[in-house]
Amino acid sequence: MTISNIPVGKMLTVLLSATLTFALSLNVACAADSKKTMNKSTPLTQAYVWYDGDREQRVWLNPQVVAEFNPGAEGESAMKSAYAGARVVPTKHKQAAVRLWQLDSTAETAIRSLRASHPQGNYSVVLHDAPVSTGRMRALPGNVIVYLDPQWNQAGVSNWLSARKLEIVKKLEIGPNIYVIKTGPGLEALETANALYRSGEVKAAFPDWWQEVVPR
Amino acid sequence: MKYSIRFTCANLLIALALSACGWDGGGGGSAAAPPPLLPAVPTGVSATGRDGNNLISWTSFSPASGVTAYNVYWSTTAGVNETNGTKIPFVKNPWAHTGLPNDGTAYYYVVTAVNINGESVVSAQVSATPAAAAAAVDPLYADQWHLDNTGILGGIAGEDINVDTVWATYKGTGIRIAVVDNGLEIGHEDLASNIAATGLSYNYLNGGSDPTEDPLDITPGNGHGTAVAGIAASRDFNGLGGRGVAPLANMVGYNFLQNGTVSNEADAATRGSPNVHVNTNSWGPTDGNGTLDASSTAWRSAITTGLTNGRGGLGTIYTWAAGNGAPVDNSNYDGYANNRGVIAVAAVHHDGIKSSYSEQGANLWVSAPAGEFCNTRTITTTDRTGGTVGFNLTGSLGDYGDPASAYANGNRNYTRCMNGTSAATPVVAGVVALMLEANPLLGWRDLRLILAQSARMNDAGDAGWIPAPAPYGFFNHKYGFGVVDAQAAVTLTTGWVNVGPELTHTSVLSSPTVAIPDYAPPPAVNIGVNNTIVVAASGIASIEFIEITFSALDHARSGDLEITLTSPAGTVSRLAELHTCSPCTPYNGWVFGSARHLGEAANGNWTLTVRDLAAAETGTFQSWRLKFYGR
Repeated sequence: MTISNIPVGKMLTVLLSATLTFALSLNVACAADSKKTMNKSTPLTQAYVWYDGDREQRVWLNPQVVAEFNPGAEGESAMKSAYAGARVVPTKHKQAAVRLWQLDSTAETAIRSLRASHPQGNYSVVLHDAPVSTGRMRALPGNVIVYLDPQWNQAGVSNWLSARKLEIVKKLEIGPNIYVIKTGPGLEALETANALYRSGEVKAAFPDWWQEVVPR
Repeated sequence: MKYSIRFTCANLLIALALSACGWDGGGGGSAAAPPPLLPAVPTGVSATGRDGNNLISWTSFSPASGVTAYNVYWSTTAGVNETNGTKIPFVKNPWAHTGLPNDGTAYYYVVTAVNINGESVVSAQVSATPAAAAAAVDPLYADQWHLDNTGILGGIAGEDINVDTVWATYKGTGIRIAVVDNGLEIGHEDLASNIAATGLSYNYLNGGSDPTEDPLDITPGNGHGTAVAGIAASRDFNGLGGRGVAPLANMVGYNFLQNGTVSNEADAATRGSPNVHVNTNSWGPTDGNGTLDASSTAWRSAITTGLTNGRGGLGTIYTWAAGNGAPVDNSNYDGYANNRGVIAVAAVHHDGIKSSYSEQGANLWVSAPAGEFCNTRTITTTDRTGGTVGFNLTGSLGDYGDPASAYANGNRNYTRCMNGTSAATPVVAGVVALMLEANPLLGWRDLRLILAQSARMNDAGDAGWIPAPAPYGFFNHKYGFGVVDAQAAVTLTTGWVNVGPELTHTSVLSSPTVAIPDYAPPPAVNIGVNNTIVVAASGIASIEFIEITFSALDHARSGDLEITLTSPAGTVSRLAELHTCSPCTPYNGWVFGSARHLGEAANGNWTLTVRDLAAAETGTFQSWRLKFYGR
């Protein structure tokens, strides 16, 4: 697949109707065997961009997987009670901070519903670094990492944050004026990061991604 | 039982709900509702004095109890409670109070349990006094062929890291190793004496200082960090288990792999930086899929910060598992192991041959023992305590504690089955600790140069060994500069004069934009396409590392491409080989790292050759650039 000739501008939600139809039909076809979905190379069509420094990167939405952050006991999860068909995605090396759920329904719809019924929960769509479901996974537990002008003093940083009604979660000691900024989980974090980057006011802005990393 | 109402969100919701039902909080009604239930008081609390630490344990509540955490309060004065004691939140059971002097001081402890409503009253007080352990042989040392390979069971005598003579002088005293992994059981009997003072480790799940793996998580891999720690620095001569490479080094655990966000991986690379000398990492993106997996910008910033500011400006030393994905994967496809700031470590057997899973790469720096799989000889190290967690579970055959095996001499607190570049990497971390004890003023670049210069050629019959400029011996894409030799490395540190400031030179961006001829079957010869960059006036007479940025964005199957870099001296870095990839992502400004040209001069003609060795997909050699680091 060639992707260099696909125009990518703003945060895109490129979703052609033909591919949507195809994807939906795939979803239905895969629903009965969705436990295997993460191991099969299922094509993904809905792409988003983000900015790793100055480099534009693309990720693809997995339409049927939801990441639940800081999950409690599996049996007590709101996901389980709201979606009887929800199954935990088996992973060889699990991270305690996240549980991945495979749904029979659409992830984004499920997340909207869960946020309404269980606002204390932390849910995100799952995205992949390639347009197939075997690509490296990412999700959005919330917050954005911003690289501000290293020449700014503390007052400058505070003024900028205040003007944009942004709140620091913590300072990262990996260079001057690098902060984690508070946002909600899910695509809100991606949208905020992209908006900050495109504003031209920051050196870099990207979501505080959760990423798939494993012990060796 | 003492109750206290603490208004958590849940309490508030309950109160609001009750209010809606007519409950007024108990002030005016005749039937006041009971206050929220706090946990019962922990019982069965005990404290045991050990060498440099005290171990506190209690009877855990069942998961159904609603208890979510435990806190410990301690003091050196009797009568400790939650008001006058030092609070250590979010501790696991058992918990080790580490980094204590063996000076006869008694420590007093109480434990509380926490649930959604708040904290229990304190337990009965217990006390313990740390005391040095009597010297005793390490019963599993004889199995640690990576430390002293006597040639038994198919091994080759001397195929080890040549460390036993070093221990007469250096054992890692005063050197701190951060184990970045999925946990570290700080109370383990063979590790606790070498764990840094309480409060210096970090738990990325709760912000506490106890990175011990979840005692209820029985996933075998959940003992990974504890096994890694034991290889680097389990205590020697305590009559327990085996030995670490640096058996008196000091360790902290950062359980980043339980909460793998970008901010956490950046934090784990720099946490404790002024006092962390070695940061060892046996993790990365998933192996075995042939995919290009980039590191994050924040992580790269963290590594740069560690190199610049760590150890008072001398630079934190990062050791990194090269990857277990061979033959599909190459370490050059890993944006972490590929980074110039890390020492990428490959793995070998007890006969010096490459472990089958160990990835090749032009970025490899050194190799270290790890073995193959557990049915042969792998690495003996610490495992989660007991037979219900970790790698060595009750009933496991052929591992310590199996009465029917040759390993009945051990118990389930240890395993002989640790392998992977995960096992090789802490071996190098331990060697680095010995080197830094011998010469604490080594810069991070100096330490790398010494490792390269002192590494031993293993697998001498392998055709992949290519001479490197003196004094670096030979390089091999399977092994880097060879297997680490602790004695040779420590010897070189003595009297070493640190190299001068690092120079960098970035070439022009060359954009050939030429089609890469698709594969043609024999008798056709697939010569591919070349492009040359002329480097002049770089000022670099001795290269230390090269970054090669490459793009062929319109070639969807990166695995079809073989990519080699040829230096002015005619030496070749194999950056990418024909391989399967699932998924395949195109080269889009991918940065390869190469250690291959260490010691060469930068000026001259550098040629990148790209060949498409699989039919069907085609694309264009769009652009490339070189960045040299050296002096």
